[in-house]
Amino acid sequence: MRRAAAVLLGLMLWASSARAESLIISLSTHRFQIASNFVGAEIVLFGSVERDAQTIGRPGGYDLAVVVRGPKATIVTRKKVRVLGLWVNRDSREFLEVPSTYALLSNRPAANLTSIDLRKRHQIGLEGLILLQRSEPGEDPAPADPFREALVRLNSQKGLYRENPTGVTFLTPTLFRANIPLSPNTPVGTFDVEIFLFSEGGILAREQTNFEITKVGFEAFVANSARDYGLLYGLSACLLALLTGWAASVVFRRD
Amino acid sequence: MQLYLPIAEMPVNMLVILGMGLAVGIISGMFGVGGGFLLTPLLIFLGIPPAVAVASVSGQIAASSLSGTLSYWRRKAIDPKLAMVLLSGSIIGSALGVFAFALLRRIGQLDLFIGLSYVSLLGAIGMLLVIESGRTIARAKRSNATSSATSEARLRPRASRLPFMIHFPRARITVSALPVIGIGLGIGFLGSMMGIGGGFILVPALIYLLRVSTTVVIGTSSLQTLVTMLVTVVLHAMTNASVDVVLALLLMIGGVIGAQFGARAALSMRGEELRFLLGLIVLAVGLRFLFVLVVQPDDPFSNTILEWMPR
Repeated sequence: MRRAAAVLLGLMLWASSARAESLIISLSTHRFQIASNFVGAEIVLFGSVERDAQTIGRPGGYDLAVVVRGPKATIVTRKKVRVLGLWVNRDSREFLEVPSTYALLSNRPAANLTSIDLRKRHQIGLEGLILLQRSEPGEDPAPADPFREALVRLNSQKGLYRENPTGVTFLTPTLFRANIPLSPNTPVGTFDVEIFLFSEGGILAREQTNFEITKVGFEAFVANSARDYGLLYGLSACLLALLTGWAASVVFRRD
Repeated sequence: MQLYLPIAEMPVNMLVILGMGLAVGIISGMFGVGGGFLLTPLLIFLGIPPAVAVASVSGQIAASSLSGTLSYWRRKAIDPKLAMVLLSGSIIGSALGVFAFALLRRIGQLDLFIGLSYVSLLGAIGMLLVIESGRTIARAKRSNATSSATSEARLRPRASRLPFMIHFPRARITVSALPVIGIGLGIGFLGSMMGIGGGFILVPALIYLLRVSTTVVIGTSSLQTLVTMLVTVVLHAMTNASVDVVLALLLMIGGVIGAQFGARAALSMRGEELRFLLGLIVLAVGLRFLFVLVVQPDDPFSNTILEWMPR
C-alpha cells in the first residue's frame, strides 16, 4: 500500500515536470442566449500560460491558436452546369459531420504557427480542416478538389468559416485574450473551443472548453413549439392570420 | 430596426419587411390578387430560406384573402358550392405540393423547379393580360362604340360531355366535377410549392375555362385561396416546421394596410388599364426568374445543410 502510494507520487512528480507549461482559460459566458434583438455578438476568452520552477526559457516566445467549432451537420455542395441553356444543379458532393461554423483565432497566420502536418492532425486552420466526404466506390475525392474549396469559400463568404491571424492578443508575455465572433446567422447548439499553445512550431499545451448558444424567451418558445408541436403551431399561425385579416376588415370596412 | 426571426434563424430589418408587405399589399389591393408571386421571390432575394419564405407567405395570403372573402360574402358574391368542389381538389393538391417541396429540396432541384414554374406561369399569364388588355385599350381608342358581343355558343362550357355533372346556381354553370377538381388540384399544388395563392391563375381559369358568372368569380376565388392557404400553413408547419410566425405577422400587417390604399387607387383606374399594368408586373417578375436561370451564375457552387448531427 505504502509502496503503491510512493509509485503514484513519483508518477505525479514526473508528469508535472514533463508538462512544462499549462493553460488556464476562462470564457466570458458558457451559455449565450439569443433574444429578439440579436444581430451577432462576441464571446471573450481570457487565459494565461502557467509556468513553474522547472519550465525552461522560451527564446522564441509563445504562439496561441484558438479553434472554435460549431454544431456538426451534413452539408451538400452542388455545382451548376449549363443544360439546354439553363443553369442546373448537377454534380454534388456530400460532406459528413462537418462543423457548421469554424473559426481559428491566433496571434499570427496559421501557416507560421506550425507545420501543415501538425495543423492537419489537430485541424488547426481552414487549410488543416478535415472535411469528410461521402464518396461512391471507385470515385477518388482528390485532395485539391473544387467541392471542398467551394464549401470553404461559400461558408467564409457567409462569415461562418473564418481565420483571424490577429484574433489573439497577448496582454503580457503570458496573459492573452481572444474575441470569439458569433455571426448574425449563427446556428444554435454546442460550440467546442480548443486552445493550443505553441513555441517554435511545437505544441506545448492544449486545453478545451465549450459554450452553448440557445434561443430564449419568445424566440425559444416559437422555435420549440414549431419543432415539437407542428400541428398546434400551424393551427395557431392560422388563427393569427384569421385574426389579422378579420381586424383589417373591421377597421377598414367601407360598405 | 433589427428583429431576430426565430424560425429563419436570422435578423432582418423590421421596416424593410413591413415596407415590402405594404408595397405588395398596395399591388394586391389594386388588382385583387394575393401578391404571393411577388412577396415570395422578394423574401428569397433578401436571404430568407425558400422553405420559410413559402410557408410564411401562405399565412400572409390567408390573412389578406380573409378580408376580401368577408366583404364578398356580405355581398353574396361567392358560390359556396363551387368553392367546396374546388377545395376538394386543392387540399389534395396542397398536400402533394408540400410533399414534393421537401423531396425536391432534398435532391437539390427545388430552385430549378420554382424558377421554371415562375417563368412559365408568370410568362404565360403576363402575356395574356398584356395582349388582351392592350387590344381592349387600342380598340377603345379607335372607336368608343362597336362592343363585341360574345355569342351564346361560346359561353357554354366546353367540358359538358364528361360525367359527374353538377349545377352551380350562383355561378350559373352546369359542368362536370372533374375539370373543377382538376383546376383545384393544380392551384393547390402550385400554391404550396411556389408560395402563391394562385388567384391570378384561378380567376382566368374560372372565367375562360368554366365560364363562371363574373359576379362570383373573385369572391369564390378568394374563399378558395383562404382555405387552401390555411391548409398549406398547417401542412408546412407539420412537415417542414418552416412557418415563421414573426415574419408572417410583419407581412400581414404591411399587407392588409397596403391593400386598402391599393383598393382606393384602383377605383380611379379603368379595368383594362389595371390589367395591362398587372400584366407588365407579372411579366417583369417572370423575366427576372428567367434571367437567373439563363445567365451564368457568379458562383456555380452552393451549400445546403441536409441534417444536423445530434449530440
